[in-house]
Amino acid sequence: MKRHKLILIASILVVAAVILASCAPAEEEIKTVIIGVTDEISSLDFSDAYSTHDWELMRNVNVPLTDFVPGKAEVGTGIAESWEVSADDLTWTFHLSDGWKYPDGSELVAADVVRTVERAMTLEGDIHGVVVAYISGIEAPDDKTVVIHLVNPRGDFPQIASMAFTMPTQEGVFPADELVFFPEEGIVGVGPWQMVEYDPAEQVVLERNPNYKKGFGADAPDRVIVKYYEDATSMALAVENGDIDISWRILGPPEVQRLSEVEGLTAVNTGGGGIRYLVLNEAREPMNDKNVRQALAYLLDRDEIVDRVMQGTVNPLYSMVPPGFLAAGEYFVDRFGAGANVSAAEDLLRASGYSEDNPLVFDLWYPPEHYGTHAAQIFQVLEQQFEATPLIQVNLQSQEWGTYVKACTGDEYQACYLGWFFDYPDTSNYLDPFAESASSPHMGIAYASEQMDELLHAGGAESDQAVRAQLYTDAQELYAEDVVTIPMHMEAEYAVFRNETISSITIGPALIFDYELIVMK
Amino acid sequence: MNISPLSGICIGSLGIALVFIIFAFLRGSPGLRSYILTRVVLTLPMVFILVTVIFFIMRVIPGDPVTSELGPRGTPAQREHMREQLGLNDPILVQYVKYLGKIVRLDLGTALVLGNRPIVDELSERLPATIELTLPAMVIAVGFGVLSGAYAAQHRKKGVDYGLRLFSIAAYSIPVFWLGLILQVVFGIGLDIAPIAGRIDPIINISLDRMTNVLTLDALITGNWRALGSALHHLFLPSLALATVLTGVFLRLSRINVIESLVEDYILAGRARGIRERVLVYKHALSNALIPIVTLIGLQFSVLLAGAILTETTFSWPGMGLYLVERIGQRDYTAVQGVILVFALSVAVISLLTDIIYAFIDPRVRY
Repeated sequence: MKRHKLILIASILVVAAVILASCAPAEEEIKTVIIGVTDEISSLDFSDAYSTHDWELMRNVNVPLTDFVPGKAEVGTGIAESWEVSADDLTWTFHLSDGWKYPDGSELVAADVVRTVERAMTLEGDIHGVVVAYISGIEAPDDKTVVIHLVNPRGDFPQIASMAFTMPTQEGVFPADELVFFPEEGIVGVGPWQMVEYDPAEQVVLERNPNYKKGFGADAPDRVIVKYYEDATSMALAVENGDIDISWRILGPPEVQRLSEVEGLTAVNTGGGGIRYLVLNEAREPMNDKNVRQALAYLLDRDEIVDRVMQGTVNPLYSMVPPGFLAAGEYFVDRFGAGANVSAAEDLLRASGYSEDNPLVFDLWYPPEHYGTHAAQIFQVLEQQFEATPLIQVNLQSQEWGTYVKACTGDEYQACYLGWFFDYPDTSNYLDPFAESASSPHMGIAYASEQMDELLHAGGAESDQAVRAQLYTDAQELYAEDVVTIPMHMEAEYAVFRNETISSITIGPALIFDYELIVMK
Repeated sequence: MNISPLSGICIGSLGIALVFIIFAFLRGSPGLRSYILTRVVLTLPMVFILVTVIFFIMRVIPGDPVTSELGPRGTPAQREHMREQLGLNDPILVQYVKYLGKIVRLDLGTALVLGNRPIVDELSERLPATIELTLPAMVIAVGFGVLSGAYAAQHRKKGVDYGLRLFSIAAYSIPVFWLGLILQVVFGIGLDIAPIAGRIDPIINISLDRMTNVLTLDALITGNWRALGSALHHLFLPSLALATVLTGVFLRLSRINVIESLVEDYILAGRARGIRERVLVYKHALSNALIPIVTLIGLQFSVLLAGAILTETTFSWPGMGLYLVERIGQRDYTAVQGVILVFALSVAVISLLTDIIYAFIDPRVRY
């Protein structure tokens, strides 16, 4: 037995020694920040990517023609230092600034941008439909100029040009005739970081681009590791115990609320995030009746949902265009008031022939798991709010996301609940998909109004921002009057970091996290 | 010729299994030979039925990979184009025949979402992680379960026996994802002695050269002790959670079998000869009680895989289980079929081996 005990003790000592060895400080002192996310990589091809997380990685290794001002939802200069539009508003000319270099030292040339855009136009990736909807051709008359021809005039083209498909790619990195979703060597560009290693299931390792034009701050990290988690609970626990330095997308309201109270952690409200809204299918009764839609808008009390269900972790939304964007405002408050107005709703419903004996009955659908565990509670409260009048009877229905999204954006439900996050940071992207008559049916709304189309088309084509603001103000007033959808709340995204290692981070409402702007201690 | 880790593991495991089966076939009795033949032949229709059922279930349940990939933004034209590209517009029987044709050629197809990578490549990255998690969990579960069961039998109807029996019931009935969460909170947050999730420290991970993708093995091969320590450290909580759930069954079975053995004549004779009780329990009674436990190991293998799915999800352990959960949500038919096929083959081979071992170690068994 003594021999067995010795073996056991020796085994424990060996395991303990090995574990202790792993806890010893690293030999080299590389300032590393570990960022946890629950997102996943869908594609690392600049000519294909169409997801928030892919774009975040791309924005950290590369720079588009125009780019976001750090910490804001505004678009400023990217690799282009200036641009102008032709008299017919159909041709945009971008002038590239000097000094942009890839990690291997080679200089950026205009043909690199043309290469990415042409691949996006010819290869049918996820972004293809968006690109060909706006762009009819692209050319590089010289190494410093990119000329883009549009299908229709777009006053917001500088915003559209901030998407990843305008990022430069070196010759020979991506084949011209094929999309490469997961390039073996990762991706590089002229941005602050280069991807030196990645495993979509585990982590992405970024190291500094030694030739980055704008340089790095004294306390910026040398290396950033993006680590993937399956769920927000594990990620929240990981930042709490120090496995990671920053817990980023996507923390749910319960995690944010809990972590905000943990000593040594700082929760940062980015001010940006997805909006949530009610889809009212105007192709179906009774939602084809404007009185019904307006009555529902009168009955909705957003503050109650925000306070009772979400414990104040989201903001009520009174227009599809969230605060910070051109012409954002509280149009639904102006039209329907902030709280519930039962008598106004009842007047409208009675005008449409509904009564206590003949109540308005409709199915209200929601996905129980896709928008977090609180979705069911939101809808229980919503049901109570709508049934505050005996003239309405709501049948709550839930469906698994895979089926739900198809039915909700199709023509199957009377009313349902969806979220939206912009493709490019402009007011038009919060209005066109829902209210423009050609797009609206694809969102399960089927709204059609000539007046609205005129306003939206004029707003899209206009490049004078003051004129655009007025056009979008008019469009949103009409949007509220017609109750195209009912905006409900905006789930502001939070990041939580450890005070022990991080001093500050910069993430704006556009949810652009510039890793080089992380300030370490 | 390049051999992926998945192919390497599969070929290696099947090779070992095959050698063992051939050995048993050649050395076994005529009854055993006939049994081995029957079992091998029956394994094929079993896998075929399973693959067929999964194929049709995945297509019958609501939702599809196109909707999952495109989300609310996808226009009808984009959806139609993608369906055509993925072959989802073919009649279901045509899809089925094509799928079977590929299986026969050992081609698991390509993923329908997230970059459309070959399934074999994706599983190659995930299978080693699952092996790294389940193997230690099984060793801990069997080791602790069997020894503590024998200990409980030795101290029957005493406090420690009641305590262990209570533990076994609790361990068996606790959902592994809940246990995992509790372990994360207690050891990760409260005591702060274990990482919450993942397979290895992200910084140490950079320095580790991966060959097999079994991180502890890679660390050993390359002599990267920091990586070995980190991998073991990260393995601690998930393997403990998974092992705990399995321990209960082994503990109870071991206890009852040792109790039965302890009243056998040969034990009484041993006692009469003055052999120490500990030797009687752990050497003589336990070795006889091991026979049904070997069978149970085979049966518990499927439970182990089911537990691994939940454990991997809780601990963000990037193995086959987590992959399966992700891809079911995305309705990635080919990926789900690939995982189920690997799981089914594993369970079939393990059950076969267990039965043969059982027949081998207990000559009384006849077929």
